[in-house]
Amino acid sequence: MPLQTLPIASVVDESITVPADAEQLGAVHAALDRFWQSVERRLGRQADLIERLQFETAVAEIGANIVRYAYPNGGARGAMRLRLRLIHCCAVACFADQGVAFLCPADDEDADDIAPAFAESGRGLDICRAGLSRLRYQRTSTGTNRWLLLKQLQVTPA
Amino acid sequence: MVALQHGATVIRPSGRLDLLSAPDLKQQLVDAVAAGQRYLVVDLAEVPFIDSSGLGALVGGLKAARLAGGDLRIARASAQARVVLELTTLNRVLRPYDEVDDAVADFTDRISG
Repeated sequence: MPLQTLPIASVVDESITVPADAEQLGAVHAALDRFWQSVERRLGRQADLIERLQFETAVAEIGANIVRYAYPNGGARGAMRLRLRLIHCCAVACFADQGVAFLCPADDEDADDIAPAFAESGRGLDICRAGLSRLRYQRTSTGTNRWLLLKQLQVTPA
Repeated sequence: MVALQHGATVIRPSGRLDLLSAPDLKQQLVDAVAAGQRYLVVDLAEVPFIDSSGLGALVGGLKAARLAGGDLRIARASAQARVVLELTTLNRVLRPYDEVDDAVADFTDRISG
């Protein structure tokens, strides 16, 4: 059965700004719920469940990443901004924060000899990359961290 | 919430399993193993969302259980939990059972043997 893309003119826009604190991750989930309600009103039907869950999971992972790393222990807690948009046939999430630059974990030659399957950490970005169409990070010249998460959606005919 | 079922320990976390709550679950699992309860079933029926931190807690519990000669199973995983398990291929290590009884039954021979 052929697939259809979303109408080009569809735009949904949902934004929040919250302290980069683990207690505020619930606000990220609430924003995602509102976003998908708006998307489904635009679509006139429910979004594909797996695509929605992959996108939500990735957004939550980056939010947690910012909470965990952007403002190290002992430092002042800043804010993180999240903007969720539906543009053309893509769900787009943009995070911004003024914390320390994110350093992608490099290969660690001294890492414990533990099979990856039994690692207890380090899966967050892999989850994002596997579930998204695109994941990008940028550190601007003004000291802002920007994360772009993009999930291309497909709509099957009713 | 913790319950014993045919020799297996069933642990039922509730709410999101994420950066905030994952350490408590891992500690609960590790404590259970330390108390001699090495066959663990984590009932995820009341966990609507799990992230990499939550997965890490489950893996930590799994390692503790296996080091003690036991094992850990998960049951009643949500659609989101199944998506995360598939994205990480952890569904090969933490195969989700549809029902708690099925996960417990998988332990029966090992517990009675």
